[in-house]
Amino acid sequence: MDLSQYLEIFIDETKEHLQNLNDQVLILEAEPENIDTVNEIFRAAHSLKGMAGTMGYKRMQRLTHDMENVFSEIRNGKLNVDADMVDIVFKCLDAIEGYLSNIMESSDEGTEDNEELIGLLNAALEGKHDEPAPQETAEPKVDKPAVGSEDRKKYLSIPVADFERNAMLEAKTNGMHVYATTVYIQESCLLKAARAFLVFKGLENKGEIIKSVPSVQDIEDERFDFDFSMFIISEKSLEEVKKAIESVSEIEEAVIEEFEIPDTASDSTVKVEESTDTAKTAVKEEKAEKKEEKKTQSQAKSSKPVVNRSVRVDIEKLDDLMNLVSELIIAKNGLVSVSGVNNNHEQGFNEQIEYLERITTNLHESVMKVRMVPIESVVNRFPRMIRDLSKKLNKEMELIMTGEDTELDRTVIDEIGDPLMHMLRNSADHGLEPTIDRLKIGKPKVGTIRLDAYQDGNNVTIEVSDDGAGIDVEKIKRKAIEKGTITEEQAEYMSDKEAVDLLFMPAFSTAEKISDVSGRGVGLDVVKNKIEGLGGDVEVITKLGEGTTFIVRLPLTLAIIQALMVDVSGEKYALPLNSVVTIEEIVPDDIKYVHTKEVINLRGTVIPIVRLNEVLDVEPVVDEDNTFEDEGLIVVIVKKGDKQAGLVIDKLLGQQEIVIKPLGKYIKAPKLISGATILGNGEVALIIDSNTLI
Amino acid sequence: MDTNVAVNDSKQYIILRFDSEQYGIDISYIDNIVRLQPITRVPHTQPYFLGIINLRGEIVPVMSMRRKFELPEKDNTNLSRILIIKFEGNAKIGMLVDEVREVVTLSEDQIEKMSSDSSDFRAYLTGVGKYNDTLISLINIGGVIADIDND
Repeated sequence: MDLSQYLEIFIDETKEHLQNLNDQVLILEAEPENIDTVNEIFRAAHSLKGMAGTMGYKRMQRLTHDMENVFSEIRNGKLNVDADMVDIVFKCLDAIEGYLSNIMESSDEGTEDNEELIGLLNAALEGKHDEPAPQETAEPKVDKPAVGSEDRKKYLSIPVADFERNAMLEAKTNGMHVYATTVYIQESCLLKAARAFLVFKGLENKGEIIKSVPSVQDIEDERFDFDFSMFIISEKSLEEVKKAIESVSEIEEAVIEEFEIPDTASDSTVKVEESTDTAKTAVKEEKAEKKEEKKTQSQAKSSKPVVNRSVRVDIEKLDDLMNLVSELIIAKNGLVSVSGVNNNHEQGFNEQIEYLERITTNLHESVMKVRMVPIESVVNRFPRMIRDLSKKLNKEMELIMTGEDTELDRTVIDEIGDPLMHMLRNSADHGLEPTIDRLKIGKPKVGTIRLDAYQDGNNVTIEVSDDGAGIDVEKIKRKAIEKGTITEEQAEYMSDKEAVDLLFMPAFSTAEKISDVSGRGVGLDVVKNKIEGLGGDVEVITKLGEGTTFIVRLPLTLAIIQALMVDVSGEKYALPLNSVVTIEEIVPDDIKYVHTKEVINLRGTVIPIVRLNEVLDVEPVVDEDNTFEDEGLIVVIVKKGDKQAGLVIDKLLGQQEIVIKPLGKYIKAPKLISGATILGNGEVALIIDSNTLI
Repeated sequence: MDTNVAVNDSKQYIILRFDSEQYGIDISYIDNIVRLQPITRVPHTQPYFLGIINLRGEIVPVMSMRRKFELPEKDNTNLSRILIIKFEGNAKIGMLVDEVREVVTLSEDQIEKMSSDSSDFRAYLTGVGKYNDTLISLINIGGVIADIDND
């Protein structure tokens, strides 16, 4: 059977389950008695096992099976959760993640058996009680559904036709079993039909399905609720058939029993073997338990964001769509520039162009929104990481996260994980003091690391902060002098802010000891590069003794921005509008010199002047009529944070929506050029990143 | 008695001309050949890059073969073309050449392999092909591209 079509679903689901497991085990570590969590872990491990089994990943199945056993024992109160246990489980999760990444690369799970982990799991099982674990523990799971409540036996109400009855009778006389079953699919399942199909496939070599309600066709067309019933003729045991059904993931339960063939083939409802009294009480207990489970499930559901109706779309298709929208905007810009050339056309034409402009802008916004992903998908692995770091560094710390639902463009999401991880590691390792030191200076024993994300106009800001020691500016300066990065003289005049910025220099680490957490000095400069590559910036605020905050600002969208088009010596350039403050006309005489650098005094603020033709390496325009002297200079004032600079240009060409395109792989452009854009007439203009000029 | 004749060990080459010399590029690396169009200069980049062009909505960097091969500069004519190269599925790169002449098929025995450790453009040549009494220097595109990557 070809399972490759389900591989993607498998990968996605495994990721979800793993994330869920990580979260739950973290909760379990804090509250070892929390039975809801144990149940949740058990269920997730069970689903993982089933999925791995269906896909034929035997090693992964084995590991999850043993993990499930352990949690089954915990659930039954036979085992207690302790720190060692949590460590083992986390290791298992890492191992499963290893399998998953192998599968993602080569659709093969790899050859790592993880015998050691399996040994640890089994040791945990055996160490705590005498019964040999695995077979025993599998039992409660198996016999539970067999005594499933009556109202879940939907197959009882299926009318049995004459020929079906005959077929059953014949099978019976041939020594085969006739089973009736109702299969329940989890209500969260997105691809019911695929699951049902897998159930049918799984049963194919176990026996024959003589009837199913709804019909197979209806099931394939997804015309059914979350359950379907069928009669099966098989020579295999009840358990084997049941297993075949339940090994399909997202199957909640298969209620199955030996079917008692009715005397008459009529519409009459089929009678069932009476269960014994003890069984009945068991049923009642089960029922109560189920209800409780249902309740917790629905509670869990209501606390999560309501799942919207959604479609999975390949990111490449979205990229294509985005490219088409970009093309449309370029085409629209073309129309706008044509309409600007000949002014003698009707008003209707202008109106239509404005209409088109509105539509393309809206279309662009919609497509952008489709590409937005909450940062949750990146940050949800951090609590686990901090927990591990806490153990490794022997410091007590907690991570508080807010704004996980803040959305960013998919391309940014993919890139932002590593830098954030780096900063959190930094906070944990360098930021927070050792627990003993904290107690000495009267700080709370447990260090706090925060990750706050929020939207701020056209930017998303992510702050990583800690309540640790803060950055010792003098220490940085000393280190920088030692390394020859700056001279002692420079250090003296250096502001604290500039000194802190030294941290972002390549190969700079102030950690006295190099740990394997951080301190190799390859961290922060990479962080900075990555974030700047995404069009964002990083800022550090620190107070000695009180803590450090890294502020990362990222643009909401990457592909399309508003820009100011300017002319420098006959070449066209685009300046992103979000960094432009004002446009000024100044007389050359107003330019003053400070340290041989040109500045202007603009309404009380001294702003350095940058002549764009110089940094762009073009000859200034030749001033033929010699009118240059008394004519004003056009200066675009741009900002970065609270700093400003004035860029001298030759001509203003207007404001325009531009599509940012990369320059291509091979050409090495300076940082000053952040990309290129295609203008309405097909010309290419470079985009200037004014942040690099300040 | 080894007689398995490999008929297919011949390759097609696009023939370029610089001054009086002819050069060949394996046609499988050529994505497209376009006429000269306005090239937007990019400041402070590798000296042999002329800038970028708009190739049907895609930005493609263009380099001058003359500058890369350290040949004397020459003005563009209406024979000048930009070869769009796509090497092993990587991004596109344009190469400005003086003239594109024709496509020829060279079999293995028409090619004389050569390895050169010289540091000028000859380092980019893999061999010399003989075709109708003319000699064609075969350019190792992979080498050129790897070199750009390392710059």
